[in-house]
Amino acid sequence: MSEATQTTGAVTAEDFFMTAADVEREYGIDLITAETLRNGLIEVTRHMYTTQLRSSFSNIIRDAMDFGVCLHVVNDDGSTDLVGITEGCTQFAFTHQHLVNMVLDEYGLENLGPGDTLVTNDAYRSGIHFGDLNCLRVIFDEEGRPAFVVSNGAHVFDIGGPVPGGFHHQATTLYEEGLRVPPMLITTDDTIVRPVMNLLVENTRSPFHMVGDVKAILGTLKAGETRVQKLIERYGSKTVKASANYALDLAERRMRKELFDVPDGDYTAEEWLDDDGVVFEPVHLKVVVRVRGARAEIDFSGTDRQPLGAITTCWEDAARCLIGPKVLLDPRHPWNAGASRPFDVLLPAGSAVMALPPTSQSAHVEMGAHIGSLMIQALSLAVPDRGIAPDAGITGSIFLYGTDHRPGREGMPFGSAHLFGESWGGSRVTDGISYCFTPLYNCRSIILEYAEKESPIVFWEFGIVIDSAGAGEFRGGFSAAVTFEVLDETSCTPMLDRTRLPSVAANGGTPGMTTYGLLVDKDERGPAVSWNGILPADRIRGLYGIFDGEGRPNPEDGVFGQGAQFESCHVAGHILEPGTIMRVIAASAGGYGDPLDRDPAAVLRDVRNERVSMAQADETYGVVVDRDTGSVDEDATEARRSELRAARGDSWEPPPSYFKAWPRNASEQRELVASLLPARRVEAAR
Amino acid sequence: MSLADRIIYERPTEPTLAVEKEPVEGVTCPECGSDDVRRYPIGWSRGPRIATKCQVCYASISVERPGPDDAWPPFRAVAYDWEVSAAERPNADNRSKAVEP
Repeated sequence: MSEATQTTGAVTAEDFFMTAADVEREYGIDLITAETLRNGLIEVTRHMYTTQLRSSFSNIIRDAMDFGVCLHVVNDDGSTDLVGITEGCTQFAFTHQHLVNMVLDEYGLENLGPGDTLVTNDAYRSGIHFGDLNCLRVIFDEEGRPAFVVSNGAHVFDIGGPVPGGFHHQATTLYEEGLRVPPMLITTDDTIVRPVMNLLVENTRSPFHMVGDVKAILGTLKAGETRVQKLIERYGSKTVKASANYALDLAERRMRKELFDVPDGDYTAEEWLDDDGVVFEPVHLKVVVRVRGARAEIDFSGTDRQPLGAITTCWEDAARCLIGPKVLLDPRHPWNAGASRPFDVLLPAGSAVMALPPTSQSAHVEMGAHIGSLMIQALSLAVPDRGIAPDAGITGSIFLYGTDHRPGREGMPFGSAHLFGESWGGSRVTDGISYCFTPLYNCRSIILEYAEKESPIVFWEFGIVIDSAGAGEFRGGFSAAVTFEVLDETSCTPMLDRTRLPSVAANGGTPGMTTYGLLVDKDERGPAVSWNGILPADRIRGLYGIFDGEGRPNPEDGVFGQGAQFESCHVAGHILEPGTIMRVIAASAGGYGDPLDRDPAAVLRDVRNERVSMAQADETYGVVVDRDTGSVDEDATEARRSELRAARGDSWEPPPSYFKAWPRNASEQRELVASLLPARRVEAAR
Repeated sequence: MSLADRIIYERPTEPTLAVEKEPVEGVTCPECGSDDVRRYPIGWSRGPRIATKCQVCYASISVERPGPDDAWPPFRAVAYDWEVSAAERPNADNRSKAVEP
C-alpha cells in the first residue's frame, strides 16, 4: 500500500507559509500553544542532554559529547518521527529517525510496555557502528497508547574485538569488530535485564566504564520520559502530539521553501578518501543532487564498490547526507524529521555508502565526514550565493587505550579519546574557523588536564600550524595539531584522512594542508614543543603523510609515504612504547575566492598573529609587508599582485597551503623565525 | 531461500555501482504527464522504502514498504517475521500501569 506521495512540485512561495488561523484549523490548537510546545519538546531533549553529560563515565561521552538524545512522536500507523533534538553529536539527529523506525518495525511496538528499554548497536539497523549503544524507550499516553519515544545513542569506551576502542581499520568483516547487539530488552518494567547487562559488561575492556555509561543512558531516557509526561499532564497528549505534528510540518515547509528557491537542476560533486587501510588506493564517492521544485533526489550512483577495510558504511548515510541541506539550505531552524521529507536518497547496494553484510564498518567516521564535504560541494553549486568551501572533511581524532600503572591506578584500564578537530572552509563573507569539528559530528575537544589525570598521557602541545590554512579571499581555518607523550604502553588508533589528497577549495581558493602523523624527539632542553606548529625535520619521523627527500612535510612536491612508517593513516591499534611522543597535524580546510583578492589588512593581521608568514603573504596573497614597520607596502602589494596574476597562465592549479620553508634543524629554524616575521615580532620572540 | 539470505553477501565485482531503476509501463506522472516512470529503492524520511517516481519532475507517485523480493535494505534479521516469544514482551500487557498515579 502506498504510504505517501510528494505533491509539492507545482507551487507558489505562499504555499509554504502558515498563519495563526491556518495552525488553528490544521492542528486544532492556537499558535501560542503550538509554539510553546514545539519548544517544550526540544526542551525535553535539553534535560536529557544535561543528564547524559553529567552522568556518563567515558570521556568520549562526558567530555567529547559523542552522543545524541532524541524525542520522537508515534504516528497512528506505528511509525515515528523525530521531533526534538539538541546539542551533541550531530549525526544522531539524522540516524535516529531511521534507527527508531527500523528497530520498532522489527521488534514490534506492540511488544513493549512501560519501563521497557531496547538496546542495539547494529550498524545495519542504522546504528552507525558497534561502539555506539543506542537505546529507546516508549512513552505512553493517558490511555496506555504509545505516544512518544525517547532515544539515545552514545559512544561507549570499548565494545570488545581485537582493537581496543573498536575502530578496527584493517577489519574486512564485522566479525572482527567487537560485540554486535541486535535489538533486545535491556530494561523491563524499569528493572535492568541482568543477562543483557552482563553481555555488555563481559565484552568490554573496561567493565567500570560500561556499567557507568549504560546506567547514564538509561537514566537519561527516564529523565526524558518524565519531562514528556509532565507536558502530557499539563496539556493532554492530544495537544502535545498535535504540536509535534505542527513542528514537523513547519520544518518541512521551511525546507521545501528553501528548495523551491533553488534553480531546478542536477548538481554533481565528487570526493576521494585516501584508502581503506587494506588496499592503498583512493576510494571514490559521487553524488548527484537533483532538485525539482520543492523536492530533491540525492543519488550516490557512480560511487565505488564497498572497500575491503572498515571505512565503509551500511545504512546511516541514507540519513547523514542530509547534513548538506541542513548546513546550506535551512541552518537556523531546529532540525526534525519534517525537514527530511523533501529528500529521497539513493544508495547503491554494495557500494562504499551501502555496504552488504558482513562487511566491516567500525571506522565509518571518515566516510561520514567526506559525505558532509561532498554534500556541501554539491549544494554550494545549487546556492552559490551561500556557497562555502567545505570543512577539511576529516574527524581529527586519536583514540588511546591501555592499562594504567601509575601509583594508585595500577591495573586500571584507560581509554582516552582525543578529538582535537580540524578546520572549516572560507565562505563568501568570512574566514573559516580553526579548532573545530566537522559539522556532521560537532563533538568538542576534550579537557587536556582531565585527560592527563585519567590516563598516563602528557600533552606537550595543542595548537595551530602557521601557513596551513587554505588561502582565499576568505581563508579557511588552520590545521589543528596535538603532541602527546605516552607514559605506558598504549594502543593508538587515529581517525584521520586527507593524508594523500588535500581538502577542497571554492571559487579559486587554494586547498588546505594535508594530514600528518609524526614521531617527535625532545629538544636538548627536554620539551617537545614547536614554533607555531613547526618542528625541525631532524626531530621528526614520519608515520604517514607526504614528505620530501629530507623528511619535511611537503604536500605540494613531496611523495606520499616517502620515508614514512605506514602506507596509510588508517592504522588500527598501533602500539606506542612508553616514552613515545607522537604529533598529529590534521588537514585544514580550503579557502573561498582568489587569495589575490583578500583584503591586505586581513593578511597583515594574520602575519602579526604569526598565523601567516611574510613569505606566504608575499607568494600566495601578493601582500608585501615591510619588515621594519610591520605594515603593508601598498604600492609594492599592487605590483606584486599584478605580477602573480600575469604569471599564473590558463592552467594554474591552486597549490595546497603549507609552510614551505620547513627547517632541517634548530639552526635553520632560528634563522627562519628571524626572516619570516616582522622585526618587532622577532624581538618579542627573543 | 536460505538462512543466509540478507545476512551474508559476497563483495560486488563491479568497480562502481548504481541504483537500478526499473521502468514502470502504463503509468503517467500526474504532475508533468511524463511516461518515464520508474520503481526503485530509496532511503525515505521514515527509513527504507520502494518509490515509484517520475524521472522528469521526480514526483513520487507512490512510496511503499519494501516486500521480501525487494531485498531492501540489504540486511534483514533472519527471525524478522517469526513468532514473538513471551520473553520478548514480558511487560507489554501492562500499559495501563503507565498512567497509574
